[in-house]
Amino acid sequence: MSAPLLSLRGLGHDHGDGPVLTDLTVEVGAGERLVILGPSGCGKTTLLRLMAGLLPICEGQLLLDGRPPVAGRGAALIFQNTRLLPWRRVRENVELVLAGRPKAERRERAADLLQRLGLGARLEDWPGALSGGQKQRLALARALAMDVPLLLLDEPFANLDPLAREQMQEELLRQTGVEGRAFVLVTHSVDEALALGDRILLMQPRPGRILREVTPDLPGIGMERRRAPRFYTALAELSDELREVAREG
Amino acid sequence: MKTELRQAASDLAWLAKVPRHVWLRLLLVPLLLLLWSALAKGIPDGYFAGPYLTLRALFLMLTDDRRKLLIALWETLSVYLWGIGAAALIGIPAGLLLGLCRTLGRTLSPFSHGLAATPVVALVPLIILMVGLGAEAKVLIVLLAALMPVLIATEAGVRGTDPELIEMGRSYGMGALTRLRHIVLPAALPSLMAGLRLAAIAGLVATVIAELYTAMTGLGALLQSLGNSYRMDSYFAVVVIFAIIGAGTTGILTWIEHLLTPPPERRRSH
Repeated sequence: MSAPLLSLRGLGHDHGDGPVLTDLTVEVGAGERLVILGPSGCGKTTLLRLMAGLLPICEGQLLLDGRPPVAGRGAALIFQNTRLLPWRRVRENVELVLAGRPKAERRERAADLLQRLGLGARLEDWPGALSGGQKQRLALARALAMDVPLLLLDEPFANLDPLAREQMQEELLRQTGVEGRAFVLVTHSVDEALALGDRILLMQPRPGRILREVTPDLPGIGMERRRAPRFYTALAELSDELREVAREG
Repeated sequence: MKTELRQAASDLAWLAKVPRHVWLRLLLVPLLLLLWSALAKGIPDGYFAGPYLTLRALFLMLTDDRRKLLIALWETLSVYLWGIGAAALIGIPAGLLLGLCRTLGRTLSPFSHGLAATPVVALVPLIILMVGLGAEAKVLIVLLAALMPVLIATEAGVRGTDPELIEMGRSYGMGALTRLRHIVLPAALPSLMAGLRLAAIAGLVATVIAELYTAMTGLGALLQSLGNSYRMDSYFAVVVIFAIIGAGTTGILTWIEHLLTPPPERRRSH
């Protein structure tokens, strides 16, 4: 059996005012889609920042491709508020993460990705001129430009309207599917978790820990899964479980 | 007739593109001249001069064969531009350093603010003792007056950079220099340019101080000699030149900021 892409063993974290995360053990394989679902304050964002190498590991072990994570290598993080550079054009926002490659290659790769994500006509626009959904597409293109096997998504679709949200979810599945990349998605939305996850981890707050792991017994993924007859029953069951988790917390 | 009118309208179309604030500025000029004139009527001769006498004196001084005004203007501009140029060359990197190294910035903050609050006049005897009465002393006085506004504003601009953007840069593998170039500097630009404009104004005041307290040269010295001889029309002509230098320098800095700022950010800038 091949080694997992991401491996957490007894991982904990403390910001200095009490533990935020405790005893997290989980593995993510190559190309796998893992969703972390939990109420506010259960340390989901801290967990992603640990996986991205933005925070030091205080307790336990976290390995990405067999090594402790280093910021900017191994995983690309997509944020809820996109964090685009307003003073750089759409194309330049993607090119920036390709630093070190020849200019022509950077341009070509950025244009190709933006074309794939439906922003081919907006290359020279400023991010401020894009809609919320287009900004998230640009953020996704920037993450995909990083040649890494894992995407980390911190509630990236929370600020989008329902239609744009579904479109972006499908885009995420399509783009990661094409290149066989794994993703870890943190969300508040039970619907999103159920539609996108191969596995769903339910987290409990104070301190954040994994309470349960759910593997949706539904066919397909994304929109296809949403159309399954049992989807809404499974949604109600998962919502009940989440309520139970919140109560126990 | 209609064709001619249409042609005339298209010839004047550029007027519609002139920003509203430019029209308002043009409107302010006669208003200020009227106010100045009214003020001059209420003050006895020998203490003040109205716009007509002042502008006439300015014309005569500019066309004078001895070129006294032009020589003084050149001396003043040399000191002023060297002084604020040196302040920008030292203040911007120092402000970046203090903004990026938080501990260093916090440690030195009371000292930099203390130095900024010290009147430059108080340092003149020390400067004369160190470098004499020549042009170096004048440039040093201007530099000291202009340095702190640049440094403090640059530091504040760097500290005000959105930490989420810095974290984004780190998470995408941008090195410190790339983050400085693409995130920190653009974010700090409005504050940095505001600091440069303040430095330009403080530097001009310091130029006059330098010209009065060290070897008397330039427009400062001319101002004092005209004041002592109660030639108020020529005196205020020099004051007008100082105002034009101040407005011109800050105008050029605003234009540079406009050039450096990408279009979506321009609405927020000066």
